[in-house]
Order: sequence, then C-alpha cells, then structure tokens
Amino acid sequence: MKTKFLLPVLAAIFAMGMSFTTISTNLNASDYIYNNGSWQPISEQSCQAGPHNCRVQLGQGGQIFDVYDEMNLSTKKTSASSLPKVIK
Amino acid sequence: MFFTPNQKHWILEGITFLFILLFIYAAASKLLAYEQFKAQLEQSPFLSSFADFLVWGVPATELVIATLLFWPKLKLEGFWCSFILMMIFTIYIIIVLNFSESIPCSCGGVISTFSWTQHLIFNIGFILIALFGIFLNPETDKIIVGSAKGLSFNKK
Repeated sequence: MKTKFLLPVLAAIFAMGMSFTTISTNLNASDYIYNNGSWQPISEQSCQAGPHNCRVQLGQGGQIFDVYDEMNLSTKKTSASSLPKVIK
Repeated sequence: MFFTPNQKHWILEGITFLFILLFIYAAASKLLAYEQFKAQLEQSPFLSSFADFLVWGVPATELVIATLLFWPKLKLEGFWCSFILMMIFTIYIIIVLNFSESIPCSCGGVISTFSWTQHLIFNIGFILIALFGIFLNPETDKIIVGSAKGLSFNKK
C-alpha cells in the first residue's frame, strides 16, 4: 500500500522543489523582454532615461528587443543611447 | 490489449507522476507569484472580469485534481478532470491565438516562458496523455465490459 503512494509523493516533492527554484530565479529578474508572444525575464538594465527605447540584444548579432519594467507592454523603458546592450 | 497488466500499471504510474508534477508545479508557481499571476489575469480582456475568482480558483482546481490522482480508486476521475482542464486551457489558447497578440501568459513557472504556439503543442500533448491514461485505466475496462454485459442482458 505504501509503495502505491511513493511515486505521487515523489512527484509532489519534485514539483514543489521546481516551483521554488523557478520563483527564486524569476525574483532576480527585474526587467523583461517580450519575445515571440511571451515574457522573458532578464536582469535589471541600467538604461538612463532618454529619447530612445531601452533595448537589449540576445548575444552578439542576436535578435534585438525592447526592455520593459514589468510584464506589461505599457512599461517600456527609455534610454539615452540608441544602441542595444548585448546580454547573454 | 497491446500491453501486459504489468506494463499498463507502470505506464499509468508514469502518467500519474507527470500530471501530479504538472499540476502541483503550476499551482505552486501561481501561488508563489500571486501578485504577478493576478496582474496577468487582469490584463487579459477575456478573463479580467473573473480575475479575483480565477486567481484562487485555477490553482485550487489544479491541486484538487492532483489530490484525486494520488488515490488509486479516484485515478480515473483524476484523469477525466485532467483531460477536461487541459481542454479548457487549450480552448483559451486557441481563442488567444485567434483574437489577440499581446496577452501575457497567465501560467506559472517555466511554462510562462512558452510562446502561445509552444503552449498549444504542450497542452495537446498532455490531452493525449490524459486520454491514454483513461484508456489504460482498469476501471475503464470494467465500465466497458459492464455496459457490454448490460446490452447482452437487455437482448435476452
């Protein structure tokens, strides 16, 4: 009888562990990019306020994205520079 | 039919494991990031009116289904509920894909980094797994055999 509950209990423990790990990873992210219809957390970008959009490039020669403060399209960050910052 | 009883048992255990992992992970991620989940629901034009209810209702439903799957006697009901819930999520995704482009995913953990198309494929995969679990469940066999017996009894 005990073995019948072994796998479900293991699944529950794994799930709890995974969710805490994901949350702690996401908490480190304070900015976001909107990539292919979904939000992707990135580290805080130090864009100084300016006339341009704050932008990041995913790797050298990679795709360029606007940076958002929150997971909300109305929270786009601005920058003094027009050049995107390359992030990994 | 195609599997020995032992193979059926382990496949069902595997499917149960996957669904418990999915539902508890999704529910815990939503509850741990409560404010973020609520904000995402409020941004959705389809769900914003029900955001206060759904912010608790969705994780609670996921946890109830995971609990059903824990108990061998309630596993079939658990698979049916999993199938229905995944169908509801999939219909929502299809609506989003057809009527909107900028709704954030109101889902938890790493699943929230999926694009809507990836999410759709993921959900269809789990719908098929749930159906497979229902098909392999010994209780389903009993129901089919029982109704077949009932039919033959009625003929007499």
